[in-house]
Amino acid sequence: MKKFSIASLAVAALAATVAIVPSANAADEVTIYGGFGGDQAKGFQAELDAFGAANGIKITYTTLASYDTDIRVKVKAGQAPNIGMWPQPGGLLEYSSVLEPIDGLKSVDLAGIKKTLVPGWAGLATKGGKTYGLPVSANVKSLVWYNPAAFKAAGLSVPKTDADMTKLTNTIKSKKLGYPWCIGIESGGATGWAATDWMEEYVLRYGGEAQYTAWWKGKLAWSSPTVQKAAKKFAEIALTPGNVNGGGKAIAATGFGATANLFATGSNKCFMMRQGSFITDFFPDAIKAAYKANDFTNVGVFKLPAPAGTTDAVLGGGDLAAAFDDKAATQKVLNFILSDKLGQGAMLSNYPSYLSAHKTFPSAGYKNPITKNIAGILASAKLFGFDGSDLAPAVVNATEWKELTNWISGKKTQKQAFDAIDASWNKA
Amino acid sequence: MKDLFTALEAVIAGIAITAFIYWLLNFLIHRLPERAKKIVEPYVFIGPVLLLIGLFIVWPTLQSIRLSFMEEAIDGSTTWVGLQNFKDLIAEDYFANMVINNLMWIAIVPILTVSIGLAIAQLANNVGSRQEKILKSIFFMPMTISFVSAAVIWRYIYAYAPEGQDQVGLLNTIWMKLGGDPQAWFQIEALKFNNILLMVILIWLSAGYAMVLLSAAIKSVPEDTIEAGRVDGANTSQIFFKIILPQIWPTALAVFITVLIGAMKVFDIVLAMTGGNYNTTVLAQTFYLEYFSYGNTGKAMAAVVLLILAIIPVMVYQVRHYRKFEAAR
Repeated sequence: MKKFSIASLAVAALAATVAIVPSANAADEVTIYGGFGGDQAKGFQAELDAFGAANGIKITYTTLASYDTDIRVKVKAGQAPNIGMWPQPGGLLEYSSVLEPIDGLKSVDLAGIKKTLVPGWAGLATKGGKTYGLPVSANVKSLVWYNPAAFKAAGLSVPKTDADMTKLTNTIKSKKLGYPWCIGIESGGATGWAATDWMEEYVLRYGGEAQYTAWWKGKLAWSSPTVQKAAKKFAEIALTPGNVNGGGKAIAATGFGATANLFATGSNKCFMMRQGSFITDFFPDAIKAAYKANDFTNVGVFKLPAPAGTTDAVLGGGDLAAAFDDKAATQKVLNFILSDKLGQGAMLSNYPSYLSAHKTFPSAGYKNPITKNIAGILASAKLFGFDGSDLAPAVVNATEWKELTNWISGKKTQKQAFDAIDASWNKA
Repeated sequence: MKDLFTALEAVIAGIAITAFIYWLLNFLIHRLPERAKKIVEPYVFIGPVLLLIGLFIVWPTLQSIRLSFMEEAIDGSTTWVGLQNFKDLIAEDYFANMVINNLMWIAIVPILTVSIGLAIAQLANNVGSRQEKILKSIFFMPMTISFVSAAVIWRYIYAYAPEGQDQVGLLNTIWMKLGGDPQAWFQIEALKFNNILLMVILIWLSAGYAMVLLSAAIKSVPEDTIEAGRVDGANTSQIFFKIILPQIWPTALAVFITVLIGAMKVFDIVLAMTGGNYNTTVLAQTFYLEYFSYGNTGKAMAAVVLLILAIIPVMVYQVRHYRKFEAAR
């Protein structure tokens, strides 16, 4: 008798294992994997729930902590989602053979979406004349954060032009107020990415759209005059003695999110920090709390001015969505998240820093004046440049991180570092 | 919460199914004639384990070796490229440096880990049992921390801030108390100093492990051999080096080789601390970068194959030595 009871237990266990194997996606279920985390993921899921309820689709969003590496494993294991959202579109196109071109999806209003996007966004993930990915969110990088209280106390004013900014830099130094710039590029295994942004800012401005595109596609070398000019400008800001506390060595060892000195009061404080709109998440707790409560005594932002005679451009980034299949529910959900409707629901109340890539997105939705200001900078941009290193193949991107770190920390000369980046295109 | 239940369900089901399989096999072989049963029985019970080892260790290893000669596309299709992956890997400008780094990890970490573990074990043996327990617990504690958590702790120890700012880093605080300027430690490449700073972490993590095993070995050294040495007039160091050490040698060697293999495979510490910057990269980290970041399956597998080739002789030596020791007993 005993033996039989063990057998029946085992049968029950077998049944249980069958039950835990996830069922294949039903026709009205859509899974999305992406890089949105925390409050942004919460807001996104809330909007998906609302859309799903209205259309009879169960939509599940899952955050992949390091999207670019995790999606690779998922796809190879045959566990691709219905929709993927790439923070680095350079990676997206690597998957073009397993993705559905959006042009072929009848329920996605490609022409309509393209019409409302900020110029420059529609062509980021195209291959062979087909569109594989389009933006679901945007962020602006050409922002210089400052502490209005510190500026006021020192009698400084916000620079309108590049010449003003240089003058301001020199004033801060000559009056011994502190250090003009806060710059940190340390980020563990990704150390150096913040330096690529600086290079992109100035290549975009000095080179304009055509040269910028040629550059991130690997057709304009780092040894070219435009990139050299951009490097000179960046070095002038970052590596001039006295501009950043500790110089290049400290820039390489300081975390990209180290904002404490921007709000410090001692002589070691720094006055300006060029960083993307996400940096508000990295402010010290007290400043962050005040910022969330709409107190802007210590937080201000201005657009990184363009050097005289260059294009008044804006650099940014964003997440791009692409479809792994063409079933009806996937198409419907994709059409929703690619449109200017995304963000008009519960997103902004959960995550006030969300930015839409659509120029038609109602700016009244932005309750936070700084987000509104940033949205204005994005929507009015004469030229928008997407983060070039994120568009480049992963191996080139990683080489840029590494070699710019080598250059800034003084381990290599600028020429040695840039030559190594140019050479990395052979490995792509 | 749902995940927790799923995990629990999987564990319980797994155990139940395993038990059922063994019960079923046992049930079946008892139906066999006595002679056949004698022959089949051991294989039946070893079989599932062999199957699992085959499935989760041997098969992936063979797959890795196969893929090291292939180029794999994103959809999983492969093309034969011969030795190209190995050629590409060796042609990398960091390759020579990486090999030197790996050799340094092998040369420095195991010997120091065993020496420190042995010293602590021997010293703790002489302080009285109460204190010994406390001391051993303290030294063993790092062993319970994962590599990445350890890296977080050590990031604070090695942290750097430029002059004039508050120093968070313990090492810089001490260094400045001694009159030095704050140092960006990871950027000091002279004499591979930054590599050595990373090795310290692994030594810190594994010295406790070495201590526990060596301490047990020291305690099993027969008291009469030490007594005999004392009677013959041996001093403390002679007793340790001439009487205790030879008797615990097999344990010391086993610990040495385990730590050695750990040092060969080191990866998490490097990734979390420097990301391989400033010439600190190692073979296992190259695998990670090539596979997960760049999607070069073939080249990543070439790095794995090199690592396997380096580890095999060590393991062969270990097994041989173990056999010799067993035979001598």
